[in-house]
Amino acid sequence: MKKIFSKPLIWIIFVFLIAIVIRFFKLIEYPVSLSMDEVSIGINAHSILKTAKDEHGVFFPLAFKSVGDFKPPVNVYLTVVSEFIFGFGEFSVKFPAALIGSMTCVVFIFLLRSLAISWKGAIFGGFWLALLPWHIHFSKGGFEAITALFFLITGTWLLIEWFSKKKLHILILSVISFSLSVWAYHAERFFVPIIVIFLLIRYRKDINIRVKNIRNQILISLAVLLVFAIPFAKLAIFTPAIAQRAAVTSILREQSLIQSLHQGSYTNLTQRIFDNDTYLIFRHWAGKYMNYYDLRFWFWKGLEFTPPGYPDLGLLLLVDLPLFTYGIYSLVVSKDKKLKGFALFYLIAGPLPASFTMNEQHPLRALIWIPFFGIVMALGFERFAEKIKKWWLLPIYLILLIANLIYFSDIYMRQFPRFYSESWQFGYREVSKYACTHLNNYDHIFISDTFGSLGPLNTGTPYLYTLFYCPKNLENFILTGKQLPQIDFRRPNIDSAKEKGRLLLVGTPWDYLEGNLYGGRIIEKVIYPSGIDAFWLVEKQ
Amino acid sequence: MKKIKNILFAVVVAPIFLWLFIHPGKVLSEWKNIPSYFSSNIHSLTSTDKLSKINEERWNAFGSEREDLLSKVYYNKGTALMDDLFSALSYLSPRIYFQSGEGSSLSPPRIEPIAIPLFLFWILGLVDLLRNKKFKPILLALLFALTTYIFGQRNMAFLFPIAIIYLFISLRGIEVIKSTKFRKTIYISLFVYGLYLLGRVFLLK
Repeated sequence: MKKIFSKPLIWIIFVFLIAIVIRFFKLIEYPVSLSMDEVSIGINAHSILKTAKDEHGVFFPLAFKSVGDFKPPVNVYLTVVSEFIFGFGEFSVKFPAALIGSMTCVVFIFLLRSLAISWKGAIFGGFWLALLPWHIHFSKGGFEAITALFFLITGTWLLIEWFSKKKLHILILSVISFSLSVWAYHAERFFVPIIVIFLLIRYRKDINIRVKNIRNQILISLAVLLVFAIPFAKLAIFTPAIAQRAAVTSILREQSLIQSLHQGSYTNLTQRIFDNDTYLIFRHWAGKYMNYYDLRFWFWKGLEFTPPGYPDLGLLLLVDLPLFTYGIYSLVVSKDKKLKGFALFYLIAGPLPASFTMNEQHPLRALIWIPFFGIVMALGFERFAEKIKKWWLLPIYLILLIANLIYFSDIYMRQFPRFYSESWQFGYREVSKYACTHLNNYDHIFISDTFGSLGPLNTGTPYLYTLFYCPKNLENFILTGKQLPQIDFRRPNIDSAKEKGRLLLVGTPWDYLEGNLYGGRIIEKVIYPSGIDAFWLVEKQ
Repeated sequence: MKKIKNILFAVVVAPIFLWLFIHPGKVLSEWKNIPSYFSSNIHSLTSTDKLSKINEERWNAFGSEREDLLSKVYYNKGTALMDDLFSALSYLSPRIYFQSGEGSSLSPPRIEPIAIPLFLFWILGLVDLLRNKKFKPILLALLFALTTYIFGQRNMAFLFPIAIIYLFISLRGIEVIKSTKFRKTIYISLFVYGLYLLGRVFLLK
């Protein structure tokens, strides 16, 4: 076995290639459509590239105003680079997260090594991450949390490395990584400070501040930190960019909690003491937090690719369960106190950022938790390789792994689009492309901003999609700050049908109840992967 | 004397036991209904409604053929069984015992069955159990979760053995702490917190 892992570089390249292949496989097709965040990032990146300003005309912004909140800047600027290289388009928007997601698998190997896990365990950890649906899905979906996780893992690895090597450049790179992580996604704003404090306490014996060289390194790194921290503090204090997101997603906004709170108006002393809002909030939060410790969520139904009641995927693959269980045991009996402390910290702190937000069991916000599971899996494999040595189990594991991955491919590529294509605003791409191609044929185009297969229940952002998929419209927008005048984003109705000239009314079947097409005719239909009509394109002369 | 102290402590920090003790009728009536719960649950486990969702996934899986081999391999009664197994495992979720209860009148109202702060010690206790290769409590909890699932009623009349095990694990977690002074402080703090919980149950209207 030792021989097999004697050339780790080859294995690292192998893990990276697997990660790349899986994340870039049909990158444009899955998920079924660009999300509105991706579209917004693409437009802003294009605008920055052309004018150095975002879609709202702000010069090199550090927070991008979006629908209802502000988007962190890192992914937008990475997309600027990507668009510079590949040109404007879907691939450029998806490229950064897919690449960084793949790189995370490699960096994770180094993190595991820095935690004194053997090469075979570490490489297995990277391999596990490369094949993890939880990470694959969010890498393919261009999520900022993937970028933040990469920088978080890199920062952690480098900081642990610095504790032993004490090289200035390692500490500086660690500080930069942690800072970029904070700038990349909301959850890390909470998590990075606590992990850094934890590591400093845990490794305090390795830092002797009295040594001049170490003191100087820390001071220089603090100066680097300030470069990132000052603008962040400025944003947090003087603009709503940071606070707004926290406010929008906070558990304090949850109706079930609000209804139980007294907001200071207690009827008597007993109520003030025994039904105090502090206790109610604490208990509510505890529920959110403990929700993440659920085996069903971990191994069976966690990624929400299908609705309740349908088979789904957990955060981890089902095939991981035996090795994970063994990994937990390996961790507990391990004699490495630092490793155990680190894993225990991650186990407890991992769900913390997500627990302060509204949703139950949010796999995206819990992405920070991945290193805990990775450490356990790597340790499980390491101990298995050293103690059990029943190598005939390995082919069985690989067969089961492949079987599980085939199941993942079906859930992800067939079932997920069928159930949740509308959550990805499916249809606006097709609608926008059609409208753009036939722009000259119509005097006025109406595109519904309301859609849904079960009723007009979702509000979309078609204006972003028409910008993204209509270059003429985008260029006009960058020059003038306005969309093309003949496109209007509202539900087609009897009033819009009264407009003069040739009209294109893009609506859902709910806009044409009882087949009333306002005197027009259907020239095209956009259909959800579930087979239900998404949009009808109605032409009226 | 020490035993009485321990029992008193357990009753205060885990109000579920006091609650069940003062509502024996409800518990007994749940137990009496076990045969009927069991038969209706067995019926629902194999119900067509449950299988219809799996069938729906099967018909839309993989190839264009509605009933190709791969679809049958992945979406079948075994899938439903796995779903049941994980539903049973979710009865081990700490949230039920340390925060929400199970939502029925068999859980003490407005409070957690076992004091929330004990959750952290539950994690430490689990670690300690594994370290000392004492798997019995974990296996017992698993067994009770499966039994409760088979009975088909997720309520404290059936789940309280798991609550006892979890309390035991949590208390073991406190004992992991080496400093006697710190341990004492934790016990006192938990006792005060437990009294607060009892106050919520019995003093609030």
